[in-house]
Amino acid sequence: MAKILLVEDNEYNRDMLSRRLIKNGFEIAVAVDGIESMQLAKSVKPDLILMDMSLPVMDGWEATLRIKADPVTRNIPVIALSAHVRGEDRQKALDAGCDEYDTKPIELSRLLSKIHKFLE
Amino acid sequence: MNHYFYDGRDLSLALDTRYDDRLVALSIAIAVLAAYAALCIAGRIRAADSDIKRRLWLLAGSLTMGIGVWAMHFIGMLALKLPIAVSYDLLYTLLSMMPIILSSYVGLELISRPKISKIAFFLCVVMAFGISTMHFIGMAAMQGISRQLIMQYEPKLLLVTSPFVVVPWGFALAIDFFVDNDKKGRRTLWAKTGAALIMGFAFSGMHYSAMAATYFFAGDVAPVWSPSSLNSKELVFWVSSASVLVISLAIFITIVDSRLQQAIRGEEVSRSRMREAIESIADGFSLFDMEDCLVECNQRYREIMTIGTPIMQAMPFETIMRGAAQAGLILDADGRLEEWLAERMARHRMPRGNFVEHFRGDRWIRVSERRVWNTGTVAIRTDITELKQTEIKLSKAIAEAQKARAAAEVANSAKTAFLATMSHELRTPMNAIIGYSEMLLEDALAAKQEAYASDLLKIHSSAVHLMSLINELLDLSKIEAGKMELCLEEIDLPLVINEVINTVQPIVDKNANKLSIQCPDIMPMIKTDSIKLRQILLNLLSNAGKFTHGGEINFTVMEENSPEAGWIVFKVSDTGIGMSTEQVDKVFDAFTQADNSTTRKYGGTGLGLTITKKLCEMMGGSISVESVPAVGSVFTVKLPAVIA
Repeated sequence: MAKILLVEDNEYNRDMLSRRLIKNGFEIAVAVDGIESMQLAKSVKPDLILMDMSLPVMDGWEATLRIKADPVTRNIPVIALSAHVRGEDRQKALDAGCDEYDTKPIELSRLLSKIHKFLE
Repeated sequence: MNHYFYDGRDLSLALDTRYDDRLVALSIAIAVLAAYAALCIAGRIRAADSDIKRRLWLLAGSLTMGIGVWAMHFIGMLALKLPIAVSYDLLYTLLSMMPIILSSYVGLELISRPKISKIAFFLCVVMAFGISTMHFIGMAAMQGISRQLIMQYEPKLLLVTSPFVVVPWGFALAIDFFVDNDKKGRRTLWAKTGAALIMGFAFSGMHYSAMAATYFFAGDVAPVWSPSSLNSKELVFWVSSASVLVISLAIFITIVDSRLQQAIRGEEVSRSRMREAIESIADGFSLFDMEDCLVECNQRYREIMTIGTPIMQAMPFETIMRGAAQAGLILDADGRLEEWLAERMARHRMPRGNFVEHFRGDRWIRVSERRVWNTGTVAIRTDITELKQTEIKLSKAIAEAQKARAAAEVANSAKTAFLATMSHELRTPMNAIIGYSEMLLEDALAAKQEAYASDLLKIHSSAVHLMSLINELLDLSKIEAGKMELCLEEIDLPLVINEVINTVQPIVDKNANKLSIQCPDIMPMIKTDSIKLRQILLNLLSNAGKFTHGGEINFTVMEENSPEAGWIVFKVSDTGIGMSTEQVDKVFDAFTQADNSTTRKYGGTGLGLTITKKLCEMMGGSISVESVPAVGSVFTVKLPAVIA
């Protein structure tokens, strides 16, 4: 069973998405800020990270940069999830090292297809 | 003396009188020369600029003329050959010179006056009187010595001859005077020569006609040879050469004097002309010599450089500049006089183009200095205060405009940032609402809870609608901030159209409309932004669906080629509610749906067509509309097939 680390600061969104992903057969670990996401990336060793970009303590871009800089975690694919929909936000996420990008509101089927692309 | 006039004695006893032709000619020549000299001197007397000069010329003139006319007379006497020995009394001979010198003085005084015409006759009388007096005294010298000679005058003949002499003489004077006033070199010379000839002949004519009116008789007294009597040939030589010398010298001096005066006058004229030219310059003009001393400047320069003391010629440049700075005239020199002065002196000696000096009273003077080789420094000062003030106003206005523009840009980007933040903040809860409603919908359907499922669907579709509103607002703000970019790719147009139809079909069906599509089977290669194209078509078709009830909607796709470019035309026509002309005019403006009730009744954001029009324009295309109320509307979009 594939293990996904969901990083999301908004409680409802975190709950909603983790439950829907569990329903779809994934094992879920959750982090609420950038620092925690780094720690869990190391300890849990997920197969994929879903990273919200606007996070407290340390934002998603910075956390992604660090995860991708750490040799232990650099090979974990990161999909950025953002409520920012401007083209430059997408580029900013890719520049930080994200492997894929999706916007909120989440369209589950679209997100699932992106997840499966990395887990094959 | 009692027998001076002819006493009626036998004229056959009169002595034969013969004349030496060469001496007659010589006497006439001297007379002409003397007349010429007199005219020259008269000119000089007229031109004399001081009283002393005038008197000196008068004196020299009367002496020259007197000597000349006397020499003519005396040589004329010597030309007379009588059969008996003739001698002359020295005292009387010299005395005969006095009347002619005196009358010449009076004559010259008269002809040197500005208005000669009225006194011309009087002048002739004076001269004739002088010449006659001289003549008779001279004749008396002849008679006085030789007691053998008796001279008797015939008064009638004298009277007849005199006017003939006076008339041409006055005429000659008049010619000379008028032509001389004309001041035309060559003509003056000829006129003067002509006048001199007439006058010379007039003098001589007077003498010889008087001689013709004289009878000579041999007396009975034995001749007494006086020691003062002189040899006739020697007399001719000395008298003629002395008089010619004096006359020539006089003429020479008049020429020299005239040239000199002309040169001075010429210099004065050109100088005053230059001065006038310099004064007429509207700018301040100054010329300093190689030693930096003022040579020339105009009144405007003095006005600009008001240094408290008058600016004089030969004033050093440094003095003027120091004066100007100390008078507080030049603001650039404030508090750094010596430093400024040193800079200014260096610039004056080695001028390098124009520069501007800031003067007291907020005046601006542009100084243009040029070094002229071997002459000094020429400077032009122009008051450019008005220009400068305009420039300052203009640059202030530009700065203000820039500030306003920067402020507008800041405001605009603040607006964009605000909208982006708003969008983000709205999306986060929307994400939860849509996500949970989807989740619950799935659960409700799985549990066969139809009633819940239908309500959950309403929540879900409302949330989706709200989301589209948010998206459209964001789109518009992006377009208006110029942040929307085209994402070009080659597309499969029928596929895109198919997707769009699938999306709008529910809206069309909802109002019981019939949608028909005309699209050519083969389309050219199309390169465009597919997302924006989709957005445009969706908007037009969903509008048609919304505003038409139980009608027809026609969607036509056509190719339209012009020599320059290939176009794709999309036409959406409906049989819906249509629009009035006023509504058509405003249909593409933001938030101007037909009326406010439209939004409530038909939904939508009121931004759809505004965004559509902006997207069409962004893609290099256009949109137009035709509509009739209660009949329907036709929207036509024309886009380039290939966007470069």
